[in-house]
Amino acid sequence: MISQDIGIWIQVLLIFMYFSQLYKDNFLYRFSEYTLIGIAIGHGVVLAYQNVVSMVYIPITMRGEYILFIPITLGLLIWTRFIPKYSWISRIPMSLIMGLSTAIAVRGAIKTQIYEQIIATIRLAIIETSTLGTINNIIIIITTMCTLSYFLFLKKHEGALGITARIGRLTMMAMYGNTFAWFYMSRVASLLSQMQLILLQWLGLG
Amino acid sequence: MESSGVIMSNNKENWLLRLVNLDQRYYYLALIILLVTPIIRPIGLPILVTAPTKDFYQYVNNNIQENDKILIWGGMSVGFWPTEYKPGVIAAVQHFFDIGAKIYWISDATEDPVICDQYVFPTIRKGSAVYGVNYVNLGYYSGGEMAMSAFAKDISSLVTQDYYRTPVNQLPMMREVSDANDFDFVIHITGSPPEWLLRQYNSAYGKDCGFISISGMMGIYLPYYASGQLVGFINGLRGGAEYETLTGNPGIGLASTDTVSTGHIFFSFLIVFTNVLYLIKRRLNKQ
Repeated sequence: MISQDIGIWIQVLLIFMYFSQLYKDNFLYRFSEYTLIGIAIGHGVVLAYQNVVSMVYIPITMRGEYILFIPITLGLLIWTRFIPKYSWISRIPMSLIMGLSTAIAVRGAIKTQIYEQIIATIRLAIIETSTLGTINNIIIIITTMCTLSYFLFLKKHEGALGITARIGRLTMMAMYGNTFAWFYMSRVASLLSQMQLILLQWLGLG
Repeated sequence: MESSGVIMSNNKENWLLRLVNLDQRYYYLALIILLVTPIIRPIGLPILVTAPTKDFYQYVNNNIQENDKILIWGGMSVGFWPTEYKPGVIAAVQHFFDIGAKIYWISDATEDPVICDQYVFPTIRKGSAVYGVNYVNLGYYSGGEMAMSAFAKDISSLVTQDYYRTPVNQLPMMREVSDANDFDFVIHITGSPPEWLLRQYNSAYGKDCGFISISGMMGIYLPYYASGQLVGFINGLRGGAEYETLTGNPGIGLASTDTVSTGHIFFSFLIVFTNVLYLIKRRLNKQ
């Protein structure tokens, strides 16, 4: 039985408007797209405002934490981007944000992304209990070494280095292909949710 | 004979050219038909549980006990919620509730606290669990990795109230935690790479980390899983269906796997089909 829920009807209407782009670009498609973007931005702005109230306004007015005027001032300085004469000032808070985020990330980056990965590769046992596991580990060791050799620019990629660099390149291409395929399937899953909404919740089939 | 051979060759070329230049909208139509059919008439294709999901489940089963504290950083978006996140999130959070663990949910994406409030906590069978005592939604905090770092270092420096604007000092479970060291397990639900959480909680505090992600992140998460930095991860709809199988709670994940499998088969066919077409076209061009 077809749904009596107005919310479901609006969702289905917007889905059809969005899917109309598969035929060709049109006003209905753009309307649904802009609606989505508008709602997302509006919601984001409201949450950001609430963060400012709870993390800045209340601490200053209720608890007298006047030190928060420093980040407020820095935040406000970002808006000087809109005044061409003083736009250079906005680089100061932006540099601080970049510097801080880099510092926070670097703290754990060496251990997380370099040290632990190298250790895990070194510790790989060539002989595993299963044949497939052994083959897998050998592939990981070879492709890791070959991919690293691709980024070795001290010598021209010729001879043995040329072969390993090429294998490294192919390894990276295989990895990107794999990632792309997974992302594509991710989008199919999203399409599936729309289909389920239309067929099960709206039309009441199944 | 020669003329009939030429005609046949021309017909073959025309047929191939038509296939090669087929309007892509026909492929979309075929895809929609293939996706729709199993929704209405499920086929019941089998599902194998992959190692990352199994390890995530076994870690929770073997290491998480009643009143253990689980920190969840939620970065979900509405677009991916219905199929990519929902099966895994619902199955895993239900598992945590069944064990009796305490859940601290904090968001690094604007839509996430709404999803948590409207679709996650109301859907779960909570038993005797009480809000503020056994589970809490702390709301959204901007700053990404900086917010994660600040929370890990000193929770009170970042969080003063929950999603419903209740001061955190009025929530009993918030008095039990002050920094990352107080949590037993940390999870990030996200479609982003895993480095933020691993840098700020695994490397800095030695916390065990797990992920619930979208399918697209599989290749990016695997190296961290292989190195042992992740205890496991639930990968999109497929991972969710696997977790439902492991917990014995069939839900939207298992109900959707037929459709996804049909989609996989169709795409595999398309990859082979288009490559064969390309090779035939190249051969004909040479001739």
